[in-house]
Amino acid sequence: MTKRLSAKVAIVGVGQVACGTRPDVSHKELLWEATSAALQDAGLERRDIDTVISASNDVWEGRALSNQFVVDSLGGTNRSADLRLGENGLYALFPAWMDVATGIANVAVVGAVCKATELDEASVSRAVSTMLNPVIERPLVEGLTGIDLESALATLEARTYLEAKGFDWALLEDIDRWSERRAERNPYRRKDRSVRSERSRKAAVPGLETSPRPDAACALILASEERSKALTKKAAWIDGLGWCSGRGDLRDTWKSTSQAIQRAVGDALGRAGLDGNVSALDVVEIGYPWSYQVLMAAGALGMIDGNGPKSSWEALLGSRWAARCNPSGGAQGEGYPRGVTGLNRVAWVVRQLRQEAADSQVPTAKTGLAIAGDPYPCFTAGAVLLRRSGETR
Amino acid sequence: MKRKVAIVGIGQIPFRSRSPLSLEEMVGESVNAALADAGIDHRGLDGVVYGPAVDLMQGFFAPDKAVFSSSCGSLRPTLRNCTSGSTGVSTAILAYEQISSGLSDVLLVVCFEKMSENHAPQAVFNTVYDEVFYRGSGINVPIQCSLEAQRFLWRYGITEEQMALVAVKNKGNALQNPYAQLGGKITVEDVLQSPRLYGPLKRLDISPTSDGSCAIVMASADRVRDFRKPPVYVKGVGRWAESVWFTGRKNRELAFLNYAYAASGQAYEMAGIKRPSEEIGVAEIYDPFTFKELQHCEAMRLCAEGESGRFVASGVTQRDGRLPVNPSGGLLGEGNPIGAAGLSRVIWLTRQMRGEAGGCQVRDPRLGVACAWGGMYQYDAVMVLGNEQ
Repeated sequence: MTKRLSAKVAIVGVGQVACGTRPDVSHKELLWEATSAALQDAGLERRDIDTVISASNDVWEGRALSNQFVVDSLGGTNRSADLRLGENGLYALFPAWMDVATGIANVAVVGAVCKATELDEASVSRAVSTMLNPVIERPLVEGLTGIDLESALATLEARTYLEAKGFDWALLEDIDRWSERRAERNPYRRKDRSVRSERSRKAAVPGLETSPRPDAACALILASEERSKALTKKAAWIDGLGWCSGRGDLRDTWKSTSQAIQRAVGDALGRAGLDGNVSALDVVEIGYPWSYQVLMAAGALGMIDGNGPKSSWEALLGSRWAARCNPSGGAQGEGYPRGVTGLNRVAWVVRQLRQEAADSQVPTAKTGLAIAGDPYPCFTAGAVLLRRSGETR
Repeated sequence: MKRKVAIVGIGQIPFRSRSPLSLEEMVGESVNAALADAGIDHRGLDGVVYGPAVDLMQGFFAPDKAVFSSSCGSLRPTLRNCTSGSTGVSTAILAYEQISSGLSDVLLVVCFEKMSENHAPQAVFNTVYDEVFYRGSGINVPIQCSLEAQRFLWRYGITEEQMALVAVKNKGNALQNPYAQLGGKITVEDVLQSPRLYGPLKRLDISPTSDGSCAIVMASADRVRDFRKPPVYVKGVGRWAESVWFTGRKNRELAFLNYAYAASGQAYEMAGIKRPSEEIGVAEIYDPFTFKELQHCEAMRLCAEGESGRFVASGVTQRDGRLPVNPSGGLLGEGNPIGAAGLSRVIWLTRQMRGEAGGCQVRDPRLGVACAWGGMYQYDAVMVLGNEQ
């Protein structure tokens, strides 16, 4: 049995920059915007910060050590800082929790940024190819032009998953439309439909829909129990954490992906004292960008009713989860800024618990789960379970 | 909650300018050595924390994921840390926190770099800088460090001869280090007459590029009986960042590493150390350049500010001196595979505490300090180790 978390740590501020094309600012300025919004939300100033944890992806930002370049934007100058690289922003939340839990910090800022619109498709494909094994896998994709390699790899995984589970490709189109409908109420979604249509047209297989890659940033403020109580009544308590990696190659990816999700969520539930009980959650936000990954995550969590074809995605989810899964549209509906998707999902769970999710609000939300990670070639899964302030642990 | 944490297994491969092993093989050998030293297999691990420093250096985006299969990472909780040159120590600190906070009991820490895959490491480092203000000037690590070194020598009256003494000492010490890449018996004259690359830095003032991998096993104090070797305890940790804009730092002084002072202050406070120069018995200092050892002797409070030149010249830092610094040879002698170089400092301290440092052993060290410098040349990570809880 997983041990309960040893300390009470809360999220007391969220700041999110909407997904979109932002040629007017650099990635440093994007993260500055998100951090400023989070600090304002928490009622804090930069001088209150004890530590910062950043997350970014070098190849996406066109520089080496991109995670260090944003320390100033987060307010980390002359502070204790911890820096994640090549990981989803959700993975920056874990060491932030550790910093607060061990007393190294009372207030921690977590931030992630992506400036994907400065990359063209060919650059993305070259970047993805450098994640593959140079002897066995990379030669298979060298010289390929006119193909989005990330989508092509997704196609391989989607095909094996759908065939193994007996789902139709048509279900993926249904999930994509469902995500987009839900995101219509999300003010942070990517609104440029022409970009979305163009990307869908280029999908390696019709029906394998993904969200477009936008610019975006997100920052969260974590605080100790003592500091949280002095700050605000809007704290969302971190009750559970878990993370797990899949395999580092392309073998049986969907199986290891599902296992990684189950381990990450299982650890988060166990640390919250909810061993294996996903049904105890009031809202779940999924931070994976592809329609089949939304299906795969929901399947791994036991949120869908068995295998095989069903008339629609909502029928598969059933009435309970159809209302509580991705009320914001998830990463698929909102946008896919690589590395930022996880913190964006946490931000939405926090809004749900505060009853500040406006048209996306789930009325009875007291506990919520955010799950996200990065795909290809090794899938990662991180999970954070939050509880509304005032609810008993 | 804060739990005590110990190092219970260590492993490294010899550092070389070009390893014949693949990245996965390099990592696998160091991991196997650390697990054997700890007396466990992969089933005893709760997770892995990785520290490759620079993605583009070895031709992989997210190189931690490329080595999962040879380092117990598949289907386990893994984290990746990167603070450039300080990665080796800051990654061990991240694992320390994961255990100390109660999230895990036993973790593997793996740090590596295969720099021979890259023909122009300084071209990679140029991309670290801001594209509007700095990058176009062609600036890179040794160029920035030459600015720092000039300022350091001028401000404190330290001489190039005193810098050279660091190279003579460390390369000499490395002759006793079986993992060292560049040990040698050299003189101050050899250093001073070596080609002047980035004044005042000469070829023998600069550490080599290297391939290398290091791994350690860390565990909570209540689990140390499960392992083969006696534990070495983490007594204190510290990390600190300055502004990445090196021309706009708070103290406006390139010679004075205020962030390194802050990091060592954190670590010593946690360890309960009041007088580092008297209480520390051995130091493993990150020395990619000779003057960096001098700066860090001051920042780790082993000598007073501005006194490091005389400190080294007095012989105190020799292996048989009162306060040995880099008895392993440091980066100048052992080599500098960026991610692994910092963790090697932690491994050598562990060997010293265990009395297993062979020809590099110093007399009965009770407490030791390891540090590594990096980030965008504005970040320090410090770890204090000791034999007792």
